Amino acid sequence: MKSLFSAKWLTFYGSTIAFVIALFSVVTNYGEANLKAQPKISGRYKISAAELPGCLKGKDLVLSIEQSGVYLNGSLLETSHSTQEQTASRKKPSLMGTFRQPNLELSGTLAQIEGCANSAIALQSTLNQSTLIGKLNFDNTAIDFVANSESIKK
Amino acid sequence: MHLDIVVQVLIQILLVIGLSRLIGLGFRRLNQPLVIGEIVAGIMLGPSLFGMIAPNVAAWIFPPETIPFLGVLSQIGLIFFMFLIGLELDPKYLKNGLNVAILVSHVSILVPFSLGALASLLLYPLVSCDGVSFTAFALFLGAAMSITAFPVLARIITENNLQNTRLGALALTCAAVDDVTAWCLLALAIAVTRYNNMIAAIPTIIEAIAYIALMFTVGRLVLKQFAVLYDRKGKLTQTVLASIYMVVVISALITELIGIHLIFGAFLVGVTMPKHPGLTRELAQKTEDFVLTFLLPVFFAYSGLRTQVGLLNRPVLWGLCAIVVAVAIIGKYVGTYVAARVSGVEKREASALGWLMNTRGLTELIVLNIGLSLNVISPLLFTMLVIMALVTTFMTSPLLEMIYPKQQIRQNQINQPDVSDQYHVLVPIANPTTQRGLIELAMSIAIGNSSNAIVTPLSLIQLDQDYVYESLPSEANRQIALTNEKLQALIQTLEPADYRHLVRPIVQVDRDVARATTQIAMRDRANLILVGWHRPAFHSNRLGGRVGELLTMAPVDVAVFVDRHSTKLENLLLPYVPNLHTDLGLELALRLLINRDQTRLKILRVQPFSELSSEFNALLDRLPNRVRRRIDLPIVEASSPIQAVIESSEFADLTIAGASREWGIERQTLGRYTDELAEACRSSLLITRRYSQVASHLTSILEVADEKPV
Repeated sequence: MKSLFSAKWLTFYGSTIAFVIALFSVVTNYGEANLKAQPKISGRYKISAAELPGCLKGKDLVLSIEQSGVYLNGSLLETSHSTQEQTASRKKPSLMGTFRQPNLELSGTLAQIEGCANSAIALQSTLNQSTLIGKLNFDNTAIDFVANSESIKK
Repeated sequence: MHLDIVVQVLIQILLVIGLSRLIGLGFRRLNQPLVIGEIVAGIMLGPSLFGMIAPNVAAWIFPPETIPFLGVLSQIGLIFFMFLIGLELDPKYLKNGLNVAILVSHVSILVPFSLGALASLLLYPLVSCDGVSFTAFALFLGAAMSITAFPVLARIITENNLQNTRLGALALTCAAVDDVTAWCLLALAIAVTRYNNMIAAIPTIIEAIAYIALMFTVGRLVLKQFAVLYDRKGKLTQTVLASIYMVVVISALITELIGIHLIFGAFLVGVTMPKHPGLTRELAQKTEDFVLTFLLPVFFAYSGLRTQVGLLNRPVLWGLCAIVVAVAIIGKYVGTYVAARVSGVEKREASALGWLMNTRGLTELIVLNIGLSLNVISPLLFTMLVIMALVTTFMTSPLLEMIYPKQQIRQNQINQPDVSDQYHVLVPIANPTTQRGLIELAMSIAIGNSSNAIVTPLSLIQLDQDYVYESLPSEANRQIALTNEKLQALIQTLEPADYRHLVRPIVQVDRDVARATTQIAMRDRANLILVGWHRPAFHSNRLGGRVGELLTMAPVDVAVFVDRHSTKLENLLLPYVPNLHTDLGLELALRLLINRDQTRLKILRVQPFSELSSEFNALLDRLPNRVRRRIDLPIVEASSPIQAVIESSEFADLTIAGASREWGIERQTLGRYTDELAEACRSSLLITRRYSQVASHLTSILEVADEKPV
């Protein structure tokens, strides 16, 4: 072992700390200036559409979205779903997708909707403030929809 | 069905504690820290497993309205756990090569911190949200990568008996320095996160530094009074305990108000508490049981409910997770290794130190949960970092064994005599004060007129739980010293005094007594394991429990001694059955005959076993006359051989029986031992089980016997 705080020790220790501080400054300055994360859009969106196709016909739907940056998970639920059913859907979301402002894409199955028996669904939309406007592809039919945020999670 | 919230929370806690113990013990069997199992149990209860396979049942058991209650319980658990960690951080850990420790631990923080900051460039746009500044994100990710789990590392060191090696001492010092530094870094990250920039966080940082300074000056003086009170009363009274807990909570509240986090206040009180041995031990013991068995599993469950492995649902996300794990491992290992090498540590030790410092365990989980609560890390990144914490902790023990095997540890400890050429009896001892007869028998078997033999009483201190105060290196050393003292006191009373130096005890820590005994027997090339019979706790089987495990797994000849507390060894009885276990019994009996001139042996032949095997006869023919004439070979007619043996044992001091079905002591196919003779024998009993057919217990001793004048 070397004697306490030798010249070699101080040089190595000092230069390591100086290097890390400099590196961190460069990285944070670059990151703050050039890197942008996505806005937060997690929450529940009440879907309005002129005429929902197939098994969705006549149902009041809510799109629940969980977000981690650009990656989304979610579920399509009925407004009548109990708290327990909503919790269960969050534990096992049936939709996955991405959000790169302003475009949002989600696809998956309708695991939570009664009578739809895991049918496939896809949503493409754009986010305008707290409203999603886009197309819903289901049962070989594409329809326009609008979804308004019930409350955006902070 | 709707249940009251309290009832729901209690049901959850029941489930959490039960599963946490169960999985924890499962991981213990894999030679992993209990804490990994507990973390995994928490994850299993969350959306990653339970929520995945039965989402509705999981939602019913863990409804959202109950989660805040679990959150409060886990916060209380964390506060007191951090107090315990602080309490365990003894300044004496900082006395071993502080310059090396400072360099190694700081570089082992700075390298992963830098790599974490660089990884932020990739991760921030992908997994963060615009409410979090890049600086806060990078700082937090860097801090998360820099963590070393002092508590887990300290236990791994104890369990591997490294605490008295250069590596162990250095690792503990590094981890202690690392712990303090990483918490300071985390406090800075939290302050910056709360204000989302460095400048705004400066007042918080200044307040935090001022409070730390206050605690180390005025606080320390105030806390010293608890040691004075303890000395006055001679014990930790409930009033003093309540006062200490109040101080912990007040300090936690102060740091929360300052704007860092509750846990820092509790940690500070632990660190600044006077390190009075009695007070610290009693305080830790009183605090840890409830915190570790009840509150901490709740924290793991709370954390597990927020971990969603299912979020990693694309190959690209598993790729990002692999990058996170790789950055953490490379940063910690390379940083530690390079700094250690620069400080003059040897390659092997530097490498082992690198893997030890890579342990993140529960400490990482604490940091991650703070990050998730502050929204600085997203659920996806939280999950990746939890996986990283598990992987880095899980890999420590196997890598340490690979790089720094126990054989190497032994070489680094002092005064280890070479026992390779001697006849060697290994005697596992549970209680030195009650197993004198066992050591005396071992001496009689091993040591006669030849001093080319050694008896090793082996006392293994078992650590059943991970975080208990007793499993700290300093405490383990205290227990080892106490046991050594008892053994040495016992050895000093053994006769003849000339042979006491041939009794050389080993005392060490181990989790699995049977496995450790087997390993030591192989390592030291023991000829025989002589183990005392004890009544197993959970079944009536006399040869079950640890004795059963040794009989099953030891690749060495084993003898089990059922002590009836007869001090004499003059009349030996060997019931004859032609098998190799009886041959071992005969060899041990002959060693006793050769070593003790007053001893006689009766080889009882019960019909239909009257014919001695050719090997048996050959062995008897090799004996010098002075030994041969003290052997009787009576034949008895009996309807029940075992009954005949039991009746003959009335007149014997020691009955030696090979493990065989005739005596009701054969291993059965379903893992049960019958133990008829062990129960009914009227003298002390030695049950022999041969492992190796080529090993002879007589080779060296017969040469000596031949030379001895008749």
